[in-house]
Amino acid sequence: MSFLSPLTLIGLSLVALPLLIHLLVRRRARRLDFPSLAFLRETPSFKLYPRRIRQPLLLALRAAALILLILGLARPFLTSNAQRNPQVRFLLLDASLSMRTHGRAEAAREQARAIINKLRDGERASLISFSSTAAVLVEASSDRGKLLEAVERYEPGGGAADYNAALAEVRARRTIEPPGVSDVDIISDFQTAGIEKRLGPHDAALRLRAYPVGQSVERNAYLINESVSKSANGIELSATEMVSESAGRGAAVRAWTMDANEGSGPALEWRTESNGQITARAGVLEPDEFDADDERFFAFHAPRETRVLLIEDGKDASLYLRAALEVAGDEGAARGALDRQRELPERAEDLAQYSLVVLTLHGTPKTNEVAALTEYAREGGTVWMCLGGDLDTESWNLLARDEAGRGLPFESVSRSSGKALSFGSADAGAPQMRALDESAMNTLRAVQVTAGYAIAPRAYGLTLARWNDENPALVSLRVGEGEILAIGTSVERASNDLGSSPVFPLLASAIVRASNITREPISRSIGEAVRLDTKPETNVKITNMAGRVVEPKARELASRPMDYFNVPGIYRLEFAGNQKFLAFNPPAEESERALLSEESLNRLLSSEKPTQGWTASEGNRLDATEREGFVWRYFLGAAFLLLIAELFVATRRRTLAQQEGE
Amino acid sequence: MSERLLSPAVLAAIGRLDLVARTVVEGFLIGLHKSPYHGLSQEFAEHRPYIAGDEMRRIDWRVYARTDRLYVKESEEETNAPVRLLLDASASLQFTPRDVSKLDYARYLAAALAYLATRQGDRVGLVSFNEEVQTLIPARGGERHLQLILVALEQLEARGRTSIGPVLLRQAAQWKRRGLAILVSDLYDRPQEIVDAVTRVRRARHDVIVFHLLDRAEMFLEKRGTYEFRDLETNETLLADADRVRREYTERVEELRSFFRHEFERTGADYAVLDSHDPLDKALAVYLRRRRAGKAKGKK
Repeated sequence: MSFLSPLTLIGLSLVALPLLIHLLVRRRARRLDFPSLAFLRETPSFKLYPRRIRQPLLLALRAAALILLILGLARPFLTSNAQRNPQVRFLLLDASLSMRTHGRAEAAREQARAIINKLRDGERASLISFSSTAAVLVEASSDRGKLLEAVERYEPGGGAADYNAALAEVRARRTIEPPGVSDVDIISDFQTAGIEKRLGPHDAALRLRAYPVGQSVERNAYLINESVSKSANGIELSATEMVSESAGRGAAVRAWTMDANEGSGPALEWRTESNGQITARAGVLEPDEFDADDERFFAFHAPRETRVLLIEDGKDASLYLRAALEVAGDEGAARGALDRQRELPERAEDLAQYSLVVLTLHGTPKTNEVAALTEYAREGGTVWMCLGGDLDTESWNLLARDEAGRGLPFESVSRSSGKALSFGSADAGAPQMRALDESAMNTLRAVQVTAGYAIAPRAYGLTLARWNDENPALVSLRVGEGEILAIGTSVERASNDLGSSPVFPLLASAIVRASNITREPISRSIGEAVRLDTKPETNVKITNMAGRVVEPKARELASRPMDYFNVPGIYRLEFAGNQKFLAFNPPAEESERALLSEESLNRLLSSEKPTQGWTASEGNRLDATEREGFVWRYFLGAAFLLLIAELFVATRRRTLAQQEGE
Repeated sequence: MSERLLSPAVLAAIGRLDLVARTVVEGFLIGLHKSPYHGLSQEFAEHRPYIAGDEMRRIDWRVYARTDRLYVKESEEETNAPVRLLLDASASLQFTPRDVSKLDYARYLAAALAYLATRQGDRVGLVSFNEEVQTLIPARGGERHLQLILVALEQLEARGRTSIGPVLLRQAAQWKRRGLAILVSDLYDRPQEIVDAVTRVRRARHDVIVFHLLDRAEMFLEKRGTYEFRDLETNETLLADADRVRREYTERVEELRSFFRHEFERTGADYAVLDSHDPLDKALAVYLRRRRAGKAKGKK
């Protein structure tokens, strides 16, 4: 048993207090007038002086209660035999992709075994493997068999080596250990790329030792900077193939055309999955010495052809919109791809061919139209809504609060109170506003809006532009794979002069271009968080390329992606009736061939960050240990019971004494 | 009369010493036939139940008032044998373990004995003493003399140390007629000196009764725990754990009682240990027994 506040044990000297009280009480013995002391004097003198402690039971109870109280306040916690050994040795095993280079993983295991076999009797060690995140292979233990068994379980994955994440895990483990300096053995290939960022200054309480394993590879080829686009021939996938070798680095752009639902080309295989996503596996062409990164995986929705549908309602707004969209087409973004219809098709399938649907809302809403637009957006389409001057805001607000109106980008809209509005600030980083330079923005701000609406955007939506009174004027909402935008006015003459403003075609052109951006990345880095737009408690069934299935909650997926997407590949996710494919690839740094020199390594390991002081770390340790054990509560509870017993005994004795006196 | 009525605690509630004495004696006499002291009823053979034909003037109306029964006085012989009460009034008799102090008990006892003796026609004298004689009332008979004794007893105070042997010897030297000496004391003095004094009094052909007055609290050291004991006579103090010394203490007390019993028996004196909780009939019975023996000797 150890104590978190050992200084409190000084208080044990107070145990003498009950004894002292007993002695003082004895000194003040009651006086009794007695006829004669003759016979008392004749009894042996040693018995006259009451050396025997009066009421030893009471004294014992008081002393025991005091001892337990002080021990409890010293905050004891139980430790096993092994834990009495003050410090734990931490073995950090690099499990990043680069450790899959031939021989490195086995060298790391060998090094770990050597360290474990040299542990002193009773010395405890903990094994932690790390890449983008850290995972404890075995908690602190002095059982060599257990530690060696954990070494066998070590297997490199596909993440990047984040030494700081591993050291953070070490610090977390140390909070429940006695204070002191801990030895931390890092077994890694210590790649040069990115190490400055991933191995920062460390606590003085950590004594780091590096065990570099593996040699630099002579030549490595890998793919980066992939992109996908749609052309007349089909879908074009391109990537840059890097070749890193001791003589330097070279790069070559590789492009593949996917002109069928599935197929294969030079170093490429692809197929169209049941949900319309395309999954692909591309390989490097150049020979190299490191095979683990020779393939790169992709999963994406096929980009839409730039094609705009304008719903013309016969009012003058349609004229201005058509003009602006045609100008945008002339600029090339939507050339020859503007269709016009009087009515909005009722089925989302009829909209699927378009990248953008533009319409003006009038009067009361038609729920089937809203449902079709929402479904269209969910599948990757973009909707641009203008709010007509005759909008029945009450009806639309009711719909926005209803389940059927969840796709609307606003929670409510309210007509501005008579006075003229103009545009104010804008989110210059948003793709829809990026085309508007300062001059264009000034022009836009000159537009006088007589019939405008203040829009209350959704909590998880974006505000792209505001009115001069700071109310949102242009908002967007991500719906599934697509997006719905709403501007708080129409392009009708009666509402404003936006339609005739020279900046309007620019805005329309930017919205058209933004509608064709692939929003989902075509591949992700291992360790990257995954967002599924579903409830946190939703079960997500994940199947990897080897057919292994796990089923975590969406919440777990978001917080610990490395637990599920650890190795490069394509994963199928099934959740809430949806299916989605994700492709994970190792970070590019892991493909760098160079390893850190011994000198650089020593410099890195010797850098310590300023200590935070004993108090703070000790406080953490106390808190953490208290969370681990509640032994002190038992002590205080026992002390309390003893005090009650003492009270009972004392009261009973007093009663008996009184009865005797009577 | 029940024993309860003769108990010291009940007597203390009565208050007036003359009433106490009368209550004790009358109660004792009435209960005599039923009591363990039945044989002593001869001492009062002058009283017999009234039978038809007896003279009305011989009816003892005082007994009738108390018993609702008619008794006739057979005779009222006056012996004139002096009864001398020697009462220890040293500070040790202040000891009051409960309701009645040892002095009170001694007072009740002396009063009852004086009353009884007077009632039987004996002359009664009183000597109270500590180291010196405090009160000296020569032995005389009669109701008025009894009142004198009772008043003296009322005014008695326990103080000072005790010196039994010398006081007894000095008093005995002044007694011209043989009689009965009744010593009431806790005998906290040199035991051998007391025994020697009693022996010399006996040699002078006086009858002697020694009432050794001890409370059970002091006989058995009943208190529990540690006390600072203060000697009532010397004011000396002693710290002692009663629980630890009790066994040896009681052995010492018992040894002393055995010593007195043995020595007084040898000298022909009566010796009785009285606990201040005991009813007084025990003491009265001892007195009557001794008186009868004395009368028998006188007739011889």
